[in-house]
Amino acid sequence: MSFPSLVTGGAECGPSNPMNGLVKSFSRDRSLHQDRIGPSRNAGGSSSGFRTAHPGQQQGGDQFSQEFLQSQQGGQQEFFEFNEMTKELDGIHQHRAPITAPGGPDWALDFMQQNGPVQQQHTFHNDAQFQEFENVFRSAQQQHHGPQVGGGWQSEFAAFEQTHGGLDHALQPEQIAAFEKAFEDAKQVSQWESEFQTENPQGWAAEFAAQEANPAADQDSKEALAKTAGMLLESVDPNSSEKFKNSSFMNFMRRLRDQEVAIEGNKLVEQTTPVISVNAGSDWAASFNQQQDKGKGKATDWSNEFEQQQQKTGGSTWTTDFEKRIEQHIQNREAGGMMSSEFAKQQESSWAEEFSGVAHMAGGSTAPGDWASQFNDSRQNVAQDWVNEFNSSNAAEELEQAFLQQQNQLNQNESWVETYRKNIAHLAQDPVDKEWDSLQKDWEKHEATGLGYRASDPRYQHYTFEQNNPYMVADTSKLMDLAARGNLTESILALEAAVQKNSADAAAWHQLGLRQQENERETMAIAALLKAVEANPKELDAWLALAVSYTNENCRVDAYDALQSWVENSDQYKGVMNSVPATKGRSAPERHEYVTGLFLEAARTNPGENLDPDVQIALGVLFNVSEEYEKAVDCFRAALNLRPEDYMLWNKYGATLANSHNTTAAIEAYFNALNINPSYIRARYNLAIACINLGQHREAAEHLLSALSLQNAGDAARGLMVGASTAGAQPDGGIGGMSQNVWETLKMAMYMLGRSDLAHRCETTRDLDAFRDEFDF
Amino acid sequence: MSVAVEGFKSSALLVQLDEHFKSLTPAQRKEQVAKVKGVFQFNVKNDAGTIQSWTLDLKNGEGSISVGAAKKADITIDIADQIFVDLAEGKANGQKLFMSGKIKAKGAVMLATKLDAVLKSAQTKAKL
Repeated sequence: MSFPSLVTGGAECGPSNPMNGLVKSFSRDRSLHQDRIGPSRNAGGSSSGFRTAHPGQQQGGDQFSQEFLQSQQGGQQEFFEFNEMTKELDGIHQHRAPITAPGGPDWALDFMQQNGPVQQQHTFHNDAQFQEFENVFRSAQQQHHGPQVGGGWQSEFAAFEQTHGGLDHALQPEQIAAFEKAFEDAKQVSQWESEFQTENPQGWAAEFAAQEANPAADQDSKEALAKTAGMLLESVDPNSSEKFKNSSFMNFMRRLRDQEVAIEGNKLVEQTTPVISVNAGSDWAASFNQQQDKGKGKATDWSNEFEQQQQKTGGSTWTTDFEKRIEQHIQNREAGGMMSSEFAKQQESSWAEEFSGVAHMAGGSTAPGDWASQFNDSRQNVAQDWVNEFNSSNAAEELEQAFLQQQNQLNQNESWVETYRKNIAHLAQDPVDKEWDSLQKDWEKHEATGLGYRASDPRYQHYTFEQNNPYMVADTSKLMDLAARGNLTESILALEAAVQKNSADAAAWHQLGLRQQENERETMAIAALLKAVEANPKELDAWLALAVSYTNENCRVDAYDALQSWVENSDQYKGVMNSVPATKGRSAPERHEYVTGLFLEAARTNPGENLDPDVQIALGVLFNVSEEYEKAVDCFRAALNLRPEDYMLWNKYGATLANSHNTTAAIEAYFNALNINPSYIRARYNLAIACINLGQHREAAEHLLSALSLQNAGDAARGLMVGASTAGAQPDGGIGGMSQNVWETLKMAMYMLGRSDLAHRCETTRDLDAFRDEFDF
Repeated sequence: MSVAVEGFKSSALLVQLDEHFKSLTPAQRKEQVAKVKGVFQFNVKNDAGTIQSWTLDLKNGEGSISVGAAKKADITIDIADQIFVDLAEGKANGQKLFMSGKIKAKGAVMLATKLDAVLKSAQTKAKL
């Protein structure tokens, strides 16, 4: 909405976001100088145009000065020292979105171009709401004989901002002409100050000027004020509400008319008026009245704020100062018609020099460095007066009120900010939202702890040996050799025989545990490894393998315990127990923190090239337990660099990748493991799971069947070795060699393939031959 | 008795969950029940638009999975067949699914937070 034009009462319009511009004008009010400039166009007419014209002036002046400021900031520092001033200007710049300011000469160009799009002025007239307001203000202006000229200049600036986003337009003849015109206007502006004070003794503007010039207003001014008040009262709609008629403002106006009160110099006239309901668009006077009423409270604030800002930054003062200087500059340059060529020249030379010249002309022989003091002077001499004027003029109230009024129309007495807040209020207060919050926390908690078990399975405590183990008759000294050379099944049987002959053989138990892991029989692996560490707690890698098995079984806390035991029993690393503060917590996160701390400390003792792959593996396991798979992948990869032939390590690496949903890389790792050891059942099983995750259920089934077939083949071989006499005596027919969980996974795959018939066989007959017809393994 | 139902991908998943529970010791099952304390009813809609219910009871005794609606569900979860599978396989984040409305829950919504963990515990994880 073209709000400033509304306030201006002119046919011209502001930039596309006039509210924004208005707010800017308020927060950084430059209406001081605009006040001086604007009414100059009203000079010949009634002074009552003053008020309606000046907010628009503000708009234009704002941009004008802004243009300058930007160009100054953008490029002028190189030309002369402006630091002090620039600091002051910063306060202004912070309020505005920066526009690219290529350098000094562009300022001149900008200025010229500002006059180009004059035709833009009427684009806003389509808006119905604007039209309404405009009518109101137009009538008000006509009533007071306010000329329409005032809006032209600043709206040109405004339109320029809209239409000339870029600053590098070529100079057009019509732009030059417009530019010249603008400077003619500016010339008038420069003369306004005196005109204002001398030519319009009857008007409002003169009233203010008189205040400014002479604190003790003369009688003429008082009369003029009274006359204006009388006009205002006459213009009030006699049908408007009683409340309105009796309002303090109207009383105040009457008193002004009757000269019961007069504006005393610089003093802010206090008014106490009730808030009157908005009757938008009825009359300018009504609008003004409302402005008085509603803006009253804020006016004081505004003026205070304005004063503060002025004292703080001096920014608006400076812009005023600048404009004054420009005026002087123009006067010194004589004809306005020359200005276009002057500014064209400035494009080539530098505006800074030009400006410096202005500074000299204006400030006599003062160096540019003295600008700051000049600002102070002008603040004291001019701006401060204006502040007072501003205080009494109620201009701020007027703008504020017009703003409010606009909002009232748009939003039924409710600002959009409030509307927005109302709309989002339920998001902050809705109980469902809180519920989600706690839901989220709960979720994260479960995510962190998971549903782990304690290793309470009784099968962990007792290793069930294969019956009729043929190696039981073999020589004890040859068993370890057999275990190392034989295939998986042979190796397991040999190791079982070894530990049955010597249950204190920790190394044999340890190897047995590893083989059972390899064979995808976790329960038996745990049982064997527990025996190993029981026989010899210094069998370090048994602890590590035990942690791996517990992790697979989701016995998190037990995995942490096993890893802690690894550190405790390590001659090399038990020292780190002292350097990591012990925690008593038994929850999984607490245990994780502590044990991870131990291993990180252990890793620190062997940095760089000397890193211990076992420590890396342990960390990898730890991060698997806590499901920090990315970290775990890094640890296993580091270990693999040192042990590239460790197929179990390749599998750990692959499994971690798979659990972090990097299935493709996982499959690659599994194949590396299987290349080293083709009878690695667990890698095959994992490969099948990876295939399931990729939706390749058939391939998964084939991998699973291959794994089962391998286990079965081992059993068959064992049966042959044992001999005909024992083979028939085995009731399980070798099925015991095949892993329960492989069958279960196969059943899953069968269900997914829609083969519930075959899935059923996974539970009952477990006859591999039933699958041979349909699957290739 | 199998909990499998023809025409549902998530049938396999529930079978897996069932198998998983059967593989646990009674003590572990009670442990799970103590942690979850809820009866879940899943109303799964497959691509054909058929809706099948399953009940996961992790509140009474040692817990159980069965086909059909629950006598008294603490939470009823409406979910599409494929999304259920994705959720169980860890491809989809349960929380996000809830937030985006792809899973609808009635009843004790808080229980839904435990679903992820329950499903995860039965998930076929790669073995180290």
